[in-house]
Amino acid sequence: MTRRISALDPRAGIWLLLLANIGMFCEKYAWQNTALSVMFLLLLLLYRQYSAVWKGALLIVVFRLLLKFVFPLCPHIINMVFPVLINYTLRMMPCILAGILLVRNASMQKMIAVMRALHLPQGFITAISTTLRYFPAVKDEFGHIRAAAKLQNIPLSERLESTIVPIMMSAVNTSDEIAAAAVVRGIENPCKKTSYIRLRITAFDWLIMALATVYTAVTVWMGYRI
Amino acid sequence: MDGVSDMIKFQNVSVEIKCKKILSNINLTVNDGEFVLLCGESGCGKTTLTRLVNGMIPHFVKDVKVDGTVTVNNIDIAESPMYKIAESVGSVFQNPKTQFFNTDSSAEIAFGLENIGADRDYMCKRVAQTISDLEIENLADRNVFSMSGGEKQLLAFASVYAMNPQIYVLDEPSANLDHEAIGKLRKILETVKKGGHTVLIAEHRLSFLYGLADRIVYLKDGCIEKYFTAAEFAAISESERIAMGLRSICSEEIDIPERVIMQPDSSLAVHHLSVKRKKQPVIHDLSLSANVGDIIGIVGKNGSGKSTLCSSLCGLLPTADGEVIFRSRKLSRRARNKQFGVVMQDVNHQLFSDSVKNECLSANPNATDQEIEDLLNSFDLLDCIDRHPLTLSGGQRQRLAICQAIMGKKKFLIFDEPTSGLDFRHMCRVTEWLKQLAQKGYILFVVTHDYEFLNRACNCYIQIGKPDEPTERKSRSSERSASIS
Repeated sequence: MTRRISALDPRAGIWLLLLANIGMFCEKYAWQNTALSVMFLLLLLLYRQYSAVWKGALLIVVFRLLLKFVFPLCPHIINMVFPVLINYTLRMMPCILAGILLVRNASMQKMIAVMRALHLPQGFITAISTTLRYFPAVKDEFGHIRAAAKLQNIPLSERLESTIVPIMMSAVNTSDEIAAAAVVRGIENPCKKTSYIRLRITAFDWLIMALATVYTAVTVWMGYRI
Repeated sequence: MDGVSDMIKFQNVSVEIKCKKILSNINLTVNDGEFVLLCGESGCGKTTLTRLVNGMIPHFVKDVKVDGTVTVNNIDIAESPMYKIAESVGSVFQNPKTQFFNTDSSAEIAFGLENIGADRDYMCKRVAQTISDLEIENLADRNVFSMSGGEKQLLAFASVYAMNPQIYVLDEPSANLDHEAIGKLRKILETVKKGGHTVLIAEHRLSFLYGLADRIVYLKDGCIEKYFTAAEFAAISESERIAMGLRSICSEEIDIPERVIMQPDSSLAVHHLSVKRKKQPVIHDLSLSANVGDIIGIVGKNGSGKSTLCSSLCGLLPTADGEVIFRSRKLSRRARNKQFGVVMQDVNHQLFSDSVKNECLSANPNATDQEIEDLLNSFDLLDCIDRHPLTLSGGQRQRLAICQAIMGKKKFLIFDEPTSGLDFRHMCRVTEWLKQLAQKGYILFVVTHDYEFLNRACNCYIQIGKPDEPTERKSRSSERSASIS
């Protein structure tokens, strides 16, 4: 019988994100970056984020091939811009993958519960939670605006300029409505907030954190030894 | 001390928002356990009155001047912070999309309790009790983003119910709901009323509140014009109701024919249309036909696929199967993009230019000044020709969106819930525009849950998904025919 792995605890996710950042700042060689990216791809695979795995892997392979085989043959002007951009993207890849792992495993209510457990200031938690809630709400609205622009045959080149006003209007209205709904349900109450979601850090979360820490430490250490 | 019998009290209340008088000298007392319905034409001050009770005015709304006092449960609203008011007053608004904070529905029900620092065991008990009291077991532990508009609105109500406020303030909670969801909302309101809570509700759709409201307050131009008891309100004649600009007090059944058979020689024919969203079939094997001058209603529950059908007809979504034929020619997606126009529920999404005139020009750059002026004149917009579209009123914007579609030489127009939140007079005006457009040779599709409007505006309808089952008071056909204006 196969047992389904429970979602990664947000605290473990934050720890992995921290490791990715430490790794990014300490790496000296490209292979270290690849090694860290591979670790996060494996973790994403473990937590069944298949689409992120194949997209991330494809991006890394394509970027590495471009850097190794294509850019050396390109004119100087192209080599002045693109390799820098690609190198930075690759460098940030472990952080991006760790971020995806955290976001896909931790719902907003879990993140809020973690922030409360970490005793972060209430004002900060309220600001973060309403901001996180805001994006999915405006995404829907932007879809309608894009559809309207398409039906009016507004050329692609003019679309950004013409849709900016309705987008801003919709963004303002949405943020107003969300804030109103939050305020009338007592979000400004200065009392100590509680959480309906119970956070449980499992032995498996600890194991993942330990393995990832050792792996990152060894990868960084090997870079300094060579 | 007044005791708790006066739960809400307005004393000589006048409100100005952005220097515009909204309410004048309001004196109203709502007793503990009373269910009060606020009705009146759009702009009469219903919403402002509800905002005075939940503290949005003066604490949240900007540029507002309030004279007089509003007390709720012996709390002076102007002097109390919003979170203190929230402990006594639960609010549900019109738009279900912007009333939730969590992705998990059960956590969302507990949101208000978290804010007052309730103990976790108590929260779990309250969430379970809310789910059982409101009979919303199907909404428990679900992803909120996968819910229909109706389900989201019920969830918003559940989240307020879990906080167990003494007073419920509802601002047009049914505006975006289908008949089934309205039926559920009514059941929940019955539970709240039985629980002895005080309810203040501002609504245009009155039929679902029949038998619930103890007192009806009719507002006109910012003043309380008249009070009715439930019996007095039920007895008002159709002509009186229409003169007051109110929607039907009885729920209406669809009274126009369903278009189920493909008509031969029709101008527009949709054959065996199937559409998928995220690989899931939403529309399956749908066929319909339409002739020039037809106004076809599209009805169905929230989430049944009405918007998907419209997006597919316009060519915004690809079809998995089937074809759209106009005058014996198959229309490609691109051709449908050009020939279908949409008047969205929120018209702000489709006004892109900096003036009314430029809005028309962007739809057709070759239009002459005379053509634009004639068109705007026919929709009473000529006076606004140089104004920014976003400074127009809601009705003017809706008409401008129609002008835009006409200028763009569209042949088919789709209206998405054009009467959502409209009073009787404005609903009749929308009906007139649709009929004018049909006479000019357009084929119109109207997505709506509003059967009162559907019966007046459309000549036939198509049903998407399973039919709605209204649970409201049924109307007598004689009442309906008498009220057609």
